[in-house]
Amino acid sequence: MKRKHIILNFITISLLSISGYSADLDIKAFGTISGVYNNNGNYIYRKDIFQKDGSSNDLSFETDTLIGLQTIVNINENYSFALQGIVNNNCDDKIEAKIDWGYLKYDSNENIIIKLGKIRTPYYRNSENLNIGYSNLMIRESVEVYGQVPFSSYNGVEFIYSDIISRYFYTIQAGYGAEELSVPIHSLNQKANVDVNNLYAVNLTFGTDALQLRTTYLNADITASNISIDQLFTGLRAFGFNDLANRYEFKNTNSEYLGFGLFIDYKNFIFSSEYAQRRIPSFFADTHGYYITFGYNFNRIIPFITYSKSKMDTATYEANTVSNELNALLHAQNLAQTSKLIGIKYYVNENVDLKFQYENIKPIGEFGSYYLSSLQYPQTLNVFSFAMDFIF
Amino acid sequence: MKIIVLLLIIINFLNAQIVVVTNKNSHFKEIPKDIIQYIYLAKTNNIDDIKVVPILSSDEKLHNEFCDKVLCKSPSQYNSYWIRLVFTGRKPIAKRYDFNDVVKKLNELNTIAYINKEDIKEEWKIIYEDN
Repeated sequence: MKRKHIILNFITISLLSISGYSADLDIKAFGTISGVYNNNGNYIYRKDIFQKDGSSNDLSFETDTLIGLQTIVNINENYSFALQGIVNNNCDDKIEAKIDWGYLKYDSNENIIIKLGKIRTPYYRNSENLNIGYSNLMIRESVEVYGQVPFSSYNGVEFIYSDIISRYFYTIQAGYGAEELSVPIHSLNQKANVDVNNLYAVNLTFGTDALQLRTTYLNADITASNISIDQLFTGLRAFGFNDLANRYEFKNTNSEYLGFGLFIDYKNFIFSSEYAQRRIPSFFADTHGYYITFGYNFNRIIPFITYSKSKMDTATYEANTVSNELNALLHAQNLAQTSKLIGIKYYVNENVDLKFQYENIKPIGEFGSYYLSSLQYPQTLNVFSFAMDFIF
Repeated sequence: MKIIVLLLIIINFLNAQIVVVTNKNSHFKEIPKDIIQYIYLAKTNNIDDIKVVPILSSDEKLHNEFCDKVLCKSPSQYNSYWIRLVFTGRKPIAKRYDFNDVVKKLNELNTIAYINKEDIKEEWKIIYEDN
């Protein structure tokens, strides 16, 4: 049995067996029903790099629509099991049910929380509640920031400490673990098997109710391979291109991620901004990106605008190596783009909200953007989205 | 002029003053507004190493005013914030209590609740008053 399944299966079985006789069982449902229309038929607009299908000059309901279930079993005042599963459109364009996270939690009920299991990685402010549309302002978070790291959870342990100093609160999150996943490279019709080892993540959040600062650092040894990729780098070495192979091979590569966030929620004004950069010395090139959001809260209605940008630190789309296969692999990594977004969120009641947003997206550089296209030279996309989020 | 003054008095009367109270025998004296905010936003649950249990009211008008005046958030913002805590596995859905249950809950030491000032009882003390 694979390592990643052992902890999760243990938690699932324990949770199911305990729920059989425990009275303190809390089950909640959540979901989003959403439609997306992208006016540029040369691109398939999608939520992240995992999705295969989306909107391409048509109305798509696959991009953001999902339903989920959360179960929490409180064993006693300090210990609980938590499990969250979702059903959505997967990377093979099929409806799939999967466990998103699940862990055993110890809560001291004072300052300390310890989790053991499959845990959401705390890269960004909304990493842990990405699927809970009702709790977020936009229909989907800025892919220019949130799309930089291709895994959202890990198997391991997390330690959280929170306290107040004078009038300021702070939270320190520290995690250690590993993860195995399959990451699609749709433009090449391939999937890469990704092994994330020795992953440690540290997050510090500090501030007041009105102003918060956040910083995250993550380090891991990552390998991404499949038969085609392995053959490519073996071939390069066989022909003596060791430097080229060493530069781009994604094998046990020490990878870093660094993020900063500033959030203001003062009276009715809302401001949020996050900056993120990844350093992965391999074909999966270095990037950085940011977004800035302004909103105003008219009680139940919140209009907002967002500007986002992602940039490649190494312009892999200009790669012109001796290997056409390597060039194609590098071209597929260009995620550079800018987005301008205007939208509105309306709280219908304590269980339902409605959202609408319009995005104008400009890919940067050849083969650029997060969206699927065979175009070498970029074109603008205009994307209209609406959503209904619910929780019960 | 008299009509304006009268209107102001009526408006003031309609917007009853909110206070946060606890049992007279609780260990707290006064709690500043930002600490009240942290407690109701679940950023802390202890003051001076004493565990605090915050109670929410099911009185919609009172709750909305508390959100607006004390937490400086709209009720929908507060709800959205709490949903985020619930669906990240951090906190359960916060129960809301009617006044009779609030009275019972406040028999327990170090439990706090927001009420209309006019509803205060002898066995309680005010730890925060919204001016």
